[in-house]
Amino acid sequence: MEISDQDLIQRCLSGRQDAFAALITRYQKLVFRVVTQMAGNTGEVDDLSQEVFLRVYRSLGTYRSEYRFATWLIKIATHVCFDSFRRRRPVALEPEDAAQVSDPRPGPDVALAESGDLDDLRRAVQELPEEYRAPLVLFHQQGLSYRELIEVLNEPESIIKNRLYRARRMLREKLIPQKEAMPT
Amino acid sequence: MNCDAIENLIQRSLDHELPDALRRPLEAHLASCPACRALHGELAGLLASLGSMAIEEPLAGFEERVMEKIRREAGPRGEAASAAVVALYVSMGATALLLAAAVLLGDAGVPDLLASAWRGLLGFLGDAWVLQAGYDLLAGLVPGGILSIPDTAAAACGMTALAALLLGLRRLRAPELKYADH
Repeated sequence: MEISDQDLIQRCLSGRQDAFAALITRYQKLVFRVVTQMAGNTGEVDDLSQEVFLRVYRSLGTYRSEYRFATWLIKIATHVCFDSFRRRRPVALEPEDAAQVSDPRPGPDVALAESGDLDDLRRAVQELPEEYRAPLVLFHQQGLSYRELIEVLNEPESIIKNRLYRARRMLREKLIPQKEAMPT
Repeated sequence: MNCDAIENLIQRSLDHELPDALRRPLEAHLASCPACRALHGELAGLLASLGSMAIEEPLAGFEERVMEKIRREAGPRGEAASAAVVALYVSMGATALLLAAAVLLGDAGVPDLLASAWRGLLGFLGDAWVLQAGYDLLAGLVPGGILSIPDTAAAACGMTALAALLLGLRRLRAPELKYADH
């Protein structure tokens, strides 16, 4: 029978490092998925994922069992990514600015990107301001509920819904004009 | 319903929050409006594609690399926590010894025992200046006849409680784990 997350956490808190190793094994794919989707394949995914588990380890005593452990883990992963973005890119674009600078006309690399629509999509997601990217990734890729998004992002539901709405519009504005210009 | 209102319904449907009562008006509008139908199709297609994006897999040995960092990080704090546990036991032992000495030896034998016991404790709590000050106070008062044996024993009990408090504070600084190796 598989040991529950709660049991593993209790064992960790009583000093069993092997229990934490089991938690890593259980959740490393989830953390990699979130970090890749939030930060892109930047070569930092492994380092950032390690940082996520180190933060989890340091703050395991503060975990509250009313939330799923996976949700708490995603929250920490999200914050690790946010911190990384701030170190990497000190000046973040406001969403309004981001919408203005996204050129609706096809760029010079459109033809090259024709066979790599998913690459375009990944790049477009990465270009979204982080406060819009996070709910998009967590809701549509990780399948989190609104209740979980509220916990992870620490924002009210109305703001999260509004950001999701705008994130989808921004994504479409970035990608669809390119497709329209492609030769048929 | 105009196209702006329909976009709102499209977004709600993408949130899986469109009430049944609004589903039919949305479908009717999409059937008759190419622009909104395109918007709906494009957004739904983009979101479906999000789920198909390739995900980087953890590299081999990921778990071991994290655990190695944890062990390295845990080292000094783990030693401090262990030292504090030992210190608590030593202080409790020292108190018991002192109480026994008070009964068996009387005033004359207590200062030496007191000195040995608390020096042993202070050896484990190298930075516990509060205990050092407490010891200095006792060591000065007992030989001078200012403190009686019961007073000394009571003070020793107090110092044990202080050691327990120090242990608790140390645990607060390193609250997560005891860093035991298994």
